[in-house]
Amino acid sequence: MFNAPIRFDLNEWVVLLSILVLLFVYSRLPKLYPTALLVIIWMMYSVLGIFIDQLIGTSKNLDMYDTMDTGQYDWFDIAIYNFAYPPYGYMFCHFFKMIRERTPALLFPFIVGWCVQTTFIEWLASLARVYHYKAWTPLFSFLFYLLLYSFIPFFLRKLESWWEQDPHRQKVS
Amino acid sequence: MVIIGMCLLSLAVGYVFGKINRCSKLEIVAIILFSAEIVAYYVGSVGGTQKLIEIRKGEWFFAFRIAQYTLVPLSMLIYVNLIRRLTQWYEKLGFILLWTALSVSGEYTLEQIGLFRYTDYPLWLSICFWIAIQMVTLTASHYFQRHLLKGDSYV
Repeated sequence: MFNAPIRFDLNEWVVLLSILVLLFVYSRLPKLYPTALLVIIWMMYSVLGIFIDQLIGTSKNLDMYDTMDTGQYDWFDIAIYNFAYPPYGYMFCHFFKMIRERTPALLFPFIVGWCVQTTFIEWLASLARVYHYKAWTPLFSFLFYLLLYSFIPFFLRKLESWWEQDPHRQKVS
Repeated sequence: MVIIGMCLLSLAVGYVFGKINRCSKLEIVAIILFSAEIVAYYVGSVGGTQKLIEIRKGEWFFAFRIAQYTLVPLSMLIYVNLIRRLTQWYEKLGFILLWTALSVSGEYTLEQIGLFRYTDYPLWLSICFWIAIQMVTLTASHYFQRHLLKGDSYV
């Protein structure tokens, strides 16, 4: 179905360790969203990851970067999409909601700071050969994250209002 | 040209879905994301890893991605909406078979148009995939509606 890694070396260890740390942090966070929204947020980050990689990363068309050992999917790519991107992305939603409710003036610096942090983490991962940049650069990543994390708050707002209005939920409560 | 054609086709399917829709907005988002994820992994497997289909370059590539990320989720939304209206098990079984036949012939038509190429892709795998995605999406949407949308527990 999917390839096994060519060699189990640094990049696989980095992915495994990152996933363990992210899942641990995720499990310690107090839950600010109902389960239905958690599931949607989780799937959104997973789909976004695979969509962007299929569109600009590993595709034959643009081929701007590769992930893990080859340009094809291996099991660690699938692990990244399902267990690394979603908890990391959820943390953004979590802290965004906290800051929005307590100190809204900090929202803009928070988003920019999160983009810088994400770009830095991605650059570190590229040193560990999790990503292999071809035509891609960290500057593109930063611009992309700026676009993505500016859009996500609007999507979160929508999700929250749809949750409040959902007919299935109102039937019960 | 083919990209515009695929966008128009997606719009038409979206229009049909809008006319028959009874799902809530959260359900729509969940079904779109769920089916898009399944198709993405499947295409990554049969296209990228196993090389059973060949995704072409240029505008065909983008048209293929439009079909993958809009047509399939929209068709799954229509499927879920329609099958929920059926009550008897034999009606549901018949509908699943009908929808599988429609999906397989739709996939074949898109291949004939040139959106992608079958290299070594067997018909039985296509049939299995379309039956599987229907069953899995239906089960997941049922669970989402019955268990996750009900109540407001922040677990």
